[in-house]
Amino acid sequence: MLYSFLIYSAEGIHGRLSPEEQKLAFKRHRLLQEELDKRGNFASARLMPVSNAVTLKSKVDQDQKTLVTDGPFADTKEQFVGFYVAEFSNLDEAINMADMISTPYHSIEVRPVSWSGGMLSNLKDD
Amino acid sequence: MPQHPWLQARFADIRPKAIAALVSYFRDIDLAEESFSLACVKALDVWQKQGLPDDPFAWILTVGRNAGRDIIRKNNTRDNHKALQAQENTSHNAFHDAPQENEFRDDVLRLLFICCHPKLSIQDQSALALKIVIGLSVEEIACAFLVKPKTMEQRITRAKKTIANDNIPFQSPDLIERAERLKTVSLMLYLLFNEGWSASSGEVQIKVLLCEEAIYLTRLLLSLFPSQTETMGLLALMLFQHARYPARTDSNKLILLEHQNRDLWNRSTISEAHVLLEKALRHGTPGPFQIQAAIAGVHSTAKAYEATDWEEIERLYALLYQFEPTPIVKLNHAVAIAKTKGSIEALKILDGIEGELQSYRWFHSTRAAFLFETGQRDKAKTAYQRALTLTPTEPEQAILREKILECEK
Repeated sequence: MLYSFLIYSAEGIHGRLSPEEQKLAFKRHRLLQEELDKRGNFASARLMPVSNAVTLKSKVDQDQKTLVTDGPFADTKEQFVGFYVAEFSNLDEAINMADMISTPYHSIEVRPVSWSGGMLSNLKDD
Repeated sequence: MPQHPWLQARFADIRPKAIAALVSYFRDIDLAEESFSLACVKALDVWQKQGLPDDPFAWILTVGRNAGRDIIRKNNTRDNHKALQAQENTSHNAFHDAPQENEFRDDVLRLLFICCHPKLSIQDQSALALKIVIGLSVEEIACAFLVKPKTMEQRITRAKKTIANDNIPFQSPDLIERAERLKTVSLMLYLLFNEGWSASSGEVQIKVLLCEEAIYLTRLLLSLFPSQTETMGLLALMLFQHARYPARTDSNKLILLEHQNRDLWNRSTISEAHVLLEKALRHGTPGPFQIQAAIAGVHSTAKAYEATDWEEIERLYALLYQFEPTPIVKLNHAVAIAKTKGSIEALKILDGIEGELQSYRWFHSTRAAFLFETGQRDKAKTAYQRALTLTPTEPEQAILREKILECEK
């Protein structure tokens, strides 16, 4: 079973931590990445701020043109700031691993992956 | 009680919007700041015991509003006027429903706009924004501007008095008024960034803190007004320049773009700037910040100084001159023309703006470089010497002294 870790945070907070605190947060990510690397394939990404995003919305009118708007998908107080995709034998294991990087200012959603593709297509869900 | 750094970071991030909302509510900046501080003190206690609330921003706002009203009640006999005003303001709808941060975008813009009071110098405007909106201490701001804390304290106190005496309309701005405010605030942020980028005095060439806070506030503005193409352009411009920061000085000596080690440029900052610029250009509404960002982007894409696309830069400066017909833009256009058509052509352009830029150091150093390239070494030396007398910072002076020596060879 594949699980993804979806990391949520208010974007501005990380930059407001001291450089030492920032390093500490990254260190825990590196530990998880090392651990996942030993186990096989994984993918991880840190995303640019939502101000860099555009959102595509399908429009149901005569032209059927897709509407492209600036900004994130939804205006919520927290933004999707990163995710992990990796193989785990069960949910508990995934939760334990995700806990390696949990902090009071992150929410991490652990959600099973139903399909993977692109660079992740070699990760098989079987 | 241990002070968790992530709590402080969250307070710092909530502050601009919370202060803006509280200023709209109380119409009193000092009271808003005091209420916010009290709310944070309470949050430190409660959040550590009970965990983070679902909406920390709304929590701080509610507690801050109550704290402020308590203060008003205590001072009621002394200051009946403010109490009445605050009571009238309870019609502010956002306080009844669960407030969303983005409902306060006009409040944030208004607060920044208040800091841009026309009677204040640009430095005082920025200092005020750093104090009130960001919440930096007087010591931090003084250090960033290279002045004594006492001096900065007096300046901020004076600036606060100036803005307190003014009546800023608190109703929601119409479209034209909002655009005007955005323009004024953007200019202040741009100048704040430049203050950090090109120090006007002292040995520290780049006051990084000022650049970083200017970027932070521009990010904030863009998050509140996500479709503003000039705000995207402004942020892209700042990021393109800030990305070069690690390559810009070497043991306190300024390194010109020409000689910078481009491997030291921050690539992820550059790609972020590119994305912002691309996003802005999709709209097809060019403006001065987008064009300047595009120029900075051309430099950032070039693998080496020699590989710079000067034709494109020349075209962009010509376009910029249509938006901003100033002698400084013309000067920069001349630099590009020197690359595409040669120094003799460029010198002809400089002749036309000499009168206006007499006391501008870059004019004289640029003209000196063109004169040197066309073999007029004596004239070049005189121009470099003129630039030297106008240059306040030591790293830039060092470069000019080297140039003068070259002219004497």
